Amino acid sequence: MIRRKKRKGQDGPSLFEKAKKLCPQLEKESVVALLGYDLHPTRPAQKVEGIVIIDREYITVFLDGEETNKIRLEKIAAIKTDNGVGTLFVSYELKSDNSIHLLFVCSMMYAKHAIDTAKMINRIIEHGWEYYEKLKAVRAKSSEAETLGNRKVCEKCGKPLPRGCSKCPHCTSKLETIKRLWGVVKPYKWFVFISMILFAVVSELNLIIPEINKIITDEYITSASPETLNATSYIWLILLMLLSQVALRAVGVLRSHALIHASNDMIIDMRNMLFEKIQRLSIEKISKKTAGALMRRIVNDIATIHSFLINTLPSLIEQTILFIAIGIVFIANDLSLLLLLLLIPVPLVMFGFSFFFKKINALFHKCWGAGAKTNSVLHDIFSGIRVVKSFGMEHRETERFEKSAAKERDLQIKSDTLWYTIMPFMQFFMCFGEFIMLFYVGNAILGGDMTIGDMSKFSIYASMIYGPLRMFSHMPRQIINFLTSTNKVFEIIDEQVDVDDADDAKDIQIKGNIDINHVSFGYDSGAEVLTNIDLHIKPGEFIGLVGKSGVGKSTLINLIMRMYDVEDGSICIDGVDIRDISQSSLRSQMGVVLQETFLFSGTIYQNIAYAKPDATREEIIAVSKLAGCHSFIIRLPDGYDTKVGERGHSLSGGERQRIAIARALLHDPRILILDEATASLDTETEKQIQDALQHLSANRTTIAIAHRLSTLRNATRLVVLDKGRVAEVGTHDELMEKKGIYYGLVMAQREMSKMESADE
Amino acid sequence: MDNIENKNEIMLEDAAKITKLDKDNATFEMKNGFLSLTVKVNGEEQVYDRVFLHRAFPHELLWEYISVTGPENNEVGLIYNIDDFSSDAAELLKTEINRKYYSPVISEIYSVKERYGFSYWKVRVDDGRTLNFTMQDTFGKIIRIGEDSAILVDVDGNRYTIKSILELDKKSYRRIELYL
Repeated sequence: MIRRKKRKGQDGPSLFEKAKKLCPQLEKESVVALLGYDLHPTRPAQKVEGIVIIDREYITVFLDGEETNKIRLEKIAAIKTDNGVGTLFVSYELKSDNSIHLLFVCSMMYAKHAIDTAKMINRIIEHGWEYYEKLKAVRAKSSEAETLGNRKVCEKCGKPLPRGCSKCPHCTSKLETIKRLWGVVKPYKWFVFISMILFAVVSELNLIIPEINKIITDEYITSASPETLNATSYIWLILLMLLSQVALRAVGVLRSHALIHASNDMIIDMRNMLFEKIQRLSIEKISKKTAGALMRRIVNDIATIHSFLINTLPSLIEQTILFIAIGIVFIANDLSLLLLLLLIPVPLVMFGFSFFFKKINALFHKCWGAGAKTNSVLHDIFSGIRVVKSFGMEHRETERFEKSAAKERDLQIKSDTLWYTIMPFMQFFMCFGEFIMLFYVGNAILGGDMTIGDMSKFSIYASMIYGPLRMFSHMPRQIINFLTSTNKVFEIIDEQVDVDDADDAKDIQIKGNIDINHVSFGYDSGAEVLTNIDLHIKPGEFIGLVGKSGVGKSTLINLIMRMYDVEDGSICIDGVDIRDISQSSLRSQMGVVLQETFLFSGTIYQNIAYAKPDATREEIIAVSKLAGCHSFIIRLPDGYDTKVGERGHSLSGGERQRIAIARALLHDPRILILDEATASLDTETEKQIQDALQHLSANRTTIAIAHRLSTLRNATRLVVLDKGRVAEVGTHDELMEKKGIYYGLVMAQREMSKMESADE
Repeated sequence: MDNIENKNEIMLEDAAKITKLDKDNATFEMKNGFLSLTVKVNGEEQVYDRVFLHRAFPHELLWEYISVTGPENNEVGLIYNIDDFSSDAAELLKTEINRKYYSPVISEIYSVKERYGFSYWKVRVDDGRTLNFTMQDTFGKIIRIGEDSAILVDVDGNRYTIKSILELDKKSYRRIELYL
């Protein structure tokens, strides 16, 4: 009998087995979806075991084994999900009276699956069962776990895999970090190999010197018959010692050269890997991390790895080889007992370390966190310095910074104090063996078993053997810092790219035809932002997107730019799904002007030329004139060479906006996207830019979002979004005639304008 | 001075058109599993089949300043204090708020293991259960509330509360201290 091996952590029956127990007639094929939930609908503190079975006819809800609700699917207009705080409410809307009824409440552990299922059921309700059949066919190709919508768990430990992780972080060993690092080291393996050989040579040379020393002492300095000594051989010995020292230094220099080259190249590779990865991550993932945290990864963590590779690791290798070599010398000279005596204190010290290690490790982590916090406070204050000054809050912000810096200082003092208090004692105990050696060798000399030269030789070896041991005692701190930084760097490098180029992604020459085919989309947090958007835009059209705030206008633009991937449906440009077009090809032919503009540190000229570095001066001036920024730029003392950005000349919001528009115009995109691009400009300047844009948009597809509806007066078609759906499409005149949502918005704005005019 | 401040507050309230909800103008009841509201504003009765409750100060004032919104996310009114309602209504409101804000309270931290940017937590919560959860970007996802409390947000978005970090037992404190 074959038994399936049960995964650790996956106790008890599966969701289907539980459902089968409640409904014995249930067949896997008839199940459309199975949901688990864990909270009592009215007593949240009470954990329950809830199951929802959705088949082609009914949604049946069970609470602790009891059926509590059963509703025919055909009566349902939609499944709704509402986020609480740490909870999700799932309800259904009845077709008959649009009333909404609670289905169940769950914690966030079950939320993602519930949201995905709700979306699927809603699409089935909207498109019919054919949609489900298609979906099933697609899902049949993926794993069973995904088919059932269950959360993926690690095969080894049974813990749920965090979203975006293909490997279980819990089961990844430290060895794996080293292996990952080897991937970076591999291209430089020959440098590393040569370094290793040179390390061995250095160790050997280190051992030769005490040997020569012994000969000089025994055969010349303490010789019983000095008259028989050979002066030439003595000079040769001295020369040999000198040569050994020179060779030692020369090999050391060669080794350092090999290492410096390899480690610096490795670090640059790693930094580039990290930087490229951050660039590839979607807006959603990047926006979850602060600029400070990302900078810290690229700058500080990489510096820690660099320092380890260039300083700590070479010493570690050198000292390890030396330690082994000296050990061999002791054993070869029949001094195993002495070696043992020398090493007696080591286990005790190492044992002490295991206690010390935990404490200091925690403190280092805290110091790292406190450092990050101080940096972020500083960044925060400097970014908002205008607000701080305008409210006269300098004193409070100084206090905030001082408090954070003081916390960092206290933690640093605590960790340094502990380190520098414990370490000298540790090192003392480690060197305790030297006293033992003195006793042992002294006895041997007195007994005639050893010479003074032997004592000199072994004293040097003994002090050399403690060198590596002292080094090893410092090692944990560096290794911890190194592993922490390496993990943090690989955390980003390993992050799954959610919007990535397909293997066979192609570059296309965009003409400007955009087909948005039944697109639905919702952010991670839940409810759909866009539902079943079906819109077809011809090349050269100027589309105005209109609607209330939060209705999904910017989301739709983000989807067209493929900042996110659609959940359902597709977006095609010139008949090609944008998921099959390389992102660089797609975005290089799109121009975007956002309400919030960003100018890089550099001159105005460089900022305008950003998207087309080979632009001529004539082109720059022409687009600046079109964007209405030429006139103010030439009035600046440094003209187009004026520095802008963080440390440069401060420009007004409108001026920055116009530079951004010039930048987009110079880019000459096939698809131009304007997201509230002219909102911060006065009406006259806006009109001037609108005319320029109209002139330029003759051959390009333009999509513009604007709350000020007059901005869209040149639009060939207006698309009104409402509650995530396309509510109205038409020209201004058509929509005004229709007297729908657009009409309402225009009237409200006219009313506002009248009031403003009256006020003036 | 106090008078001037009070006057200013009243003027602000009027300007913001805040409708104060209490037992005289608002009646809450459960309907289809959700909280419904009948409210009288300027003598006119309005019925909302489903309303949502939001704590304005969810960490400091649990039962005060509760915003009540309708289905279009429009604010119907503000409950200044749950005690402004009868005990039955207050109980109903508390149940609704409790089921919206779900955050088990951690009483002991058994273990925290860090692996590749994720931390694995095993904790005991105040109802005696042992819970396991995973956090990513642990430093960022432990939200300090005031000087002594914290909210931990796991990879799924579940929230766990530590009411007093200093009152945790020594071992638990040492395990979380790392991230504070």
